Amino acid sequence: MDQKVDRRSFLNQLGVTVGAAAASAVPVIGPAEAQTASAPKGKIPDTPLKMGHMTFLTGPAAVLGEPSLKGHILAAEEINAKGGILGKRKIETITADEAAGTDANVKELRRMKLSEKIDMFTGVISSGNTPALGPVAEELGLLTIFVDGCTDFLWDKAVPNPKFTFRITNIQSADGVTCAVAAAQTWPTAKKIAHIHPDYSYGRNAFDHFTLAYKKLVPGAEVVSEGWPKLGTTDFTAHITKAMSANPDIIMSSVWGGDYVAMYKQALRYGMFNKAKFASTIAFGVAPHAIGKDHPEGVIAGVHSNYYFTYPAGNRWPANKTFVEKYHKRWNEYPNFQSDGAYHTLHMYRTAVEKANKLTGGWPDEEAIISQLEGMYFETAAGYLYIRPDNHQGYKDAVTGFSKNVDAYPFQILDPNRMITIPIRNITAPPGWPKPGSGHNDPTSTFNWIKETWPQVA
Amino acid sequence: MPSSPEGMAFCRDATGVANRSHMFAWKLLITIQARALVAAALICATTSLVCAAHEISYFPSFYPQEIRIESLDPAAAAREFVSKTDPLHVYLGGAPRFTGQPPAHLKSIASLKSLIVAGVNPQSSRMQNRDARCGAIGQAAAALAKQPDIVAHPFPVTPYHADYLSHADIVSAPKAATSLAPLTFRASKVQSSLLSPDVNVHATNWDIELGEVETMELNRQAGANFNAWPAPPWTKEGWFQAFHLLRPSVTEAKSRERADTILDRLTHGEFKDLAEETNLQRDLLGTLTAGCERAVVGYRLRTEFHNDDFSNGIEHILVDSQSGFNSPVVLRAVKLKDFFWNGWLRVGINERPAAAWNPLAGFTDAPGRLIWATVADNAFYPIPTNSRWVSNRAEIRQGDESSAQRSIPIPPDALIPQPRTGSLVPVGAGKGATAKVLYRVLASAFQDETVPEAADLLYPYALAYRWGADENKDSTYDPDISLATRLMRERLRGVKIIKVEEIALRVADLTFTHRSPIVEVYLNNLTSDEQQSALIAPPWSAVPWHVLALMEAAVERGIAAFSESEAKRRGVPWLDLVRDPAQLVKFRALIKEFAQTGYRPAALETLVGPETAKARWQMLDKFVEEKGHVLVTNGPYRLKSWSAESAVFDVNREFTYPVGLGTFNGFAYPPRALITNVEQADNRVLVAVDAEFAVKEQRDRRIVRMPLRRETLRDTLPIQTMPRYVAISADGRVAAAGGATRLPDGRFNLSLPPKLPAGAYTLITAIFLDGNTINPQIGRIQYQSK
Repeated sequence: MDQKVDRRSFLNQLGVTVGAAAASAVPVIGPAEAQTASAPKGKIPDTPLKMGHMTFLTGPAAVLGEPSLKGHILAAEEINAKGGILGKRKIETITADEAAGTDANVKELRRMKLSEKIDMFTGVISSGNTPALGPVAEELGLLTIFVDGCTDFLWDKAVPNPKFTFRITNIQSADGVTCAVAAAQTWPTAKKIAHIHPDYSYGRNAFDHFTLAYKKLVPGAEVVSEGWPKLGTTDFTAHITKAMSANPDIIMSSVWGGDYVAMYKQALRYGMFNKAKFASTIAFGVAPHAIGKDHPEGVIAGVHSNYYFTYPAGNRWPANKTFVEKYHKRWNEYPNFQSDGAYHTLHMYRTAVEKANKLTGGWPDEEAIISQLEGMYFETAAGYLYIRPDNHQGYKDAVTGFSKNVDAYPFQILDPNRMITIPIRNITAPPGWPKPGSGHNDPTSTFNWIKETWPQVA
Repeated sequence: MPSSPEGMAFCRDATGVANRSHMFAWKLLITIQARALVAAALICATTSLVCAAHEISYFPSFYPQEIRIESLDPAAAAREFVSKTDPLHVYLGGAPRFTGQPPAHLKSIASLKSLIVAGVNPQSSRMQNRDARCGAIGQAAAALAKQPDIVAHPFPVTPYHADYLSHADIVSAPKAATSLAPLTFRASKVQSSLLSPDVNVHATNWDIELGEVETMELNRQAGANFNAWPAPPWTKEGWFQAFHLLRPSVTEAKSRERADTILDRLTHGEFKDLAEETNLQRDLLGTLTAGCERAVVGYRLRTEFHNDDFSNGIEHILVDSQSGFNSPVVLRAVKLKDFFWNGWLRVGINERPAAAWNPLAGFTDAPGRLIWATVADNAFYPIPTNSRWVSNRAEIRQGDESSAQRSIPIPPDALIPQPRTGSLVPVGAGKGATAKVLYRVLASAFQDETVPEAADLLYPYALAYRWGADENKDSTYDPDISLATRLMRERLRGVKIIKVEEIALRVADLTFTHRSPIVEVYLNNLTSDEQQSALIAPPWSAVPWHVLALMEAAVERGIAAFSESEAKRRGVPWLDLVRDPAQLVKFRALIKEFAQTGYRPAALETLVGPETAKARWQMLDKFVEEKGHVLVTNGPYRLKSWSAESAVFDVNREFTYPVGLGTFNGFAYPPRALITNVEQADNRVLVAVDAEFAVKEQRDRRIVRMPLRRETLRDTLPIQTMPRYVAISADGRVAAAGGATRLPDGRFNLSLPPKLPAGAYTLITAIFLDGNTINPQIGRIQYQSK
């Protein structure tokens, strides 16, 4: 692609917004709990509706699994308080611990369907699990909405033509691209980039997509240092000092969880955040209360591209205000992107059932529910969620922001007045774009699409 | 026996011929099968399902990346808790000495510290008959000081023992002073801390002497040091501790004999059901206290503090009912608030380390137990909230045959150590056992980078038989090893490593291979409780065979002795792998000598070749050169530095380490059942309960109480219930004991036997939630069976 445009024009084309504005314009839709709600048509059975929710209940990923289950429980309690879906069918949730491992999870999914007779399956955090569970859900004919498990590989390879499986999280490649767009928007003259990434697939994915997108957006950008801490590293000193010694303009990282906390606390001792700008794909991609106030302010602190509870703030987006209030009232803590995902998954399903009921009467079959999910625009706390009919992928505006301490919270938050949003359709491959192995061997469809179609800005 | 070119170790079968089916090769512990070189996602798209995002479903070892243990007196601990720059996180052993109220950001948890015993003065003219002694002992509890940490409780089983329910009908309130002549207590410093100030004391003419015995010391005397050797399964049971506490004071030979017989039956599982087992326990306690020579009159609680600050506090902590915070499981669950995992944990303890640091007969004091629990793993650990055990590095596999109450043939090529020599020889044909336990051992590399082999698993057995078997054989006998391994040596009949399983652990696009030996252990043990059998002689060693052999050689050459008592008797130092520079110099010389000769103990000569041995000694030499000590383990933390007052440990985050974050979290903040109603409805007894448990909210926990329903979640997990009851007939005998079924409305229907004879019974019951038996609320009802 040798087309040349200037950076500002291209970022405008991407729809990047900075500040406190709400999400991009789409049809007017009610808040999750209220979306469609009229008397059901036909005879509705009053048997409980069995749901399987698989998420991490133990182990390190429980920091994500716990908010997921809490979001799911909150939605189920709301629905049940109104008599259940279509006023009749109360939700009964069977939980499973995703930490059991991929093989055990596949067995558990089969058991849930064949023995427990679940009507719908949801949850799942790990990208190692969705590509294994997706084909099984298709084989079982089990309506499944994954809350996360965001690998591009799910739709690129594992389930290229989904019928029963959906996923509402943004795909993984969006992390790196969002971070690149935010960094280019914020620090357009920064050309020297030092990287510190975990030495496994997520780190590689973030590095690849950030580097590709950033170089398109910032002419002359170069990678001046790469650090790949081995998984399990606790001493980041060598990587911090290596990055600093390269005199970078930006240090970019996708180190996550407890590793990230150990890294930033060590980096503080070296003054790393004073020497260069810092951008992360996922620093705040955990429960909000988890980030301490000693975390550096003003850094790009990604949230896995999905949702942060302070945005949109106040009454700018009532769906978020309502959701945060309800979640806080129920659990006395603030939601994260898994809470948002699990909560709205259930309400989205309820909405699809209600819409299908209007068309078919009675309790709709899977086909009818799926037809309502495909192409659905759904209002969530994070903005509008669009379910693409071709690959059953949910698309939400990508979001990232800047870390800030405020008195209202005992932990650090993303500054609601400096949020960066990007329409997700503008940073992910469009429908029909060739998948890896079909005409190209790039890591993801999105990588190839950016490589081939984004201009090199001047 | 030489190693194969592939680096595999062999063992010999009964005829001494190399047997390939017995190859033990979990040498290569780690293989990274799919490593991203250019772009991991490319592999993901073209090979197999190895994709992943950021989330990691397994993380090896436990939360803190560094643990610093410091000896601090209570006043220093109080100061360090409020340090602005590096605050203390937790203080073990007792309360800090605060000036005024404890700071608001601290929380405390209580556990059983010690039993307070009253002993009768045999010289007192007033105490010469049993009635007088019993009367005096009965009054002694009332003389205890009224202090928050002292509880008057005239019975040896306390609410902090898991078997409390079995005796709850016997436990009575302390008797008020009666019309008996006033007692005189022995005057001493110890007494003054236990006694109410208004009691009579005298230095020589006294009737009753009070004493205090810490439960951990009691366990040590019973052979449970919590170092490298397995502890007796009943270590935390009240009846077991009562035996070791009171048996030495029983004066009547018949009573002693009877107590020994009952103990034998209890520890051999010689009872037909729970009711008979409970009766045996009650009979044992009755026998031990019948002569009123000595009795428990109360207990003292240990109150320990931890930091609860929003940033610098601990988010996740648990407490062992008897050892408090000084428990391996506590260290494996503690999490700092500012970190999902990692962080620098600062631990204070109220004692200076005095015991030597060696895993065979050292680490016997509180700091030693803590340090061993940090640096090393045991096969099983005591569960903090009851008297059962939880798997750590050995899992019990369901066997292919029922092991209870019948003879099981032992494979002729299973090995058994020979007393005195420790030589591992085949059991031979025609031998049987009453129990077989099948283990999956979670192996991992040692910290000197040697990989585990069969010899590492088998050598502890050999050492136990060599040093514990014959007290007349002066040069190779140690009384502490003898006591700690007595149960194992009495009951072990054979051990056989049958294969090595490989399990691939996939973490994102990385695959790690865990190799786990599958081991059969044959025992003469009658119990039908498979876990109890599994605790007798688990195939496990926290240290490699060459470090065990080094210690043996050091003792044999007069450099040191394993235990404190033997060191004193021999006039040599207590063997210390870390802190005695003089010993270390001698260890280095031995290591270099053995690296030259390829030394391995005689018991291992059929299992380990000289070249393999040389390689091991060379690795150890390198380790000592780098680290300056010989405390090599395969545990979750490595000793990094130490001084007389402190020790610092680094976490082991190798993904081949097989136990990970969160494994023991379920024991934190245990739920408790509060009985709201017990009623008889026809022949049924129905129990209704509320659940009281902690709900996680941001970085804190809030206690809630609600009716217990099937769907009640504790955080994100359902609550497991364990109902128990004991039915006592009018003559004080236990007529039935058992559980209950759950009714749809959430109540429990006690599973009383249908043929319970007609009559009146006192029925006591408790509902244990998630295994928590500590300080239970007990329901009582007078039940009439028709």
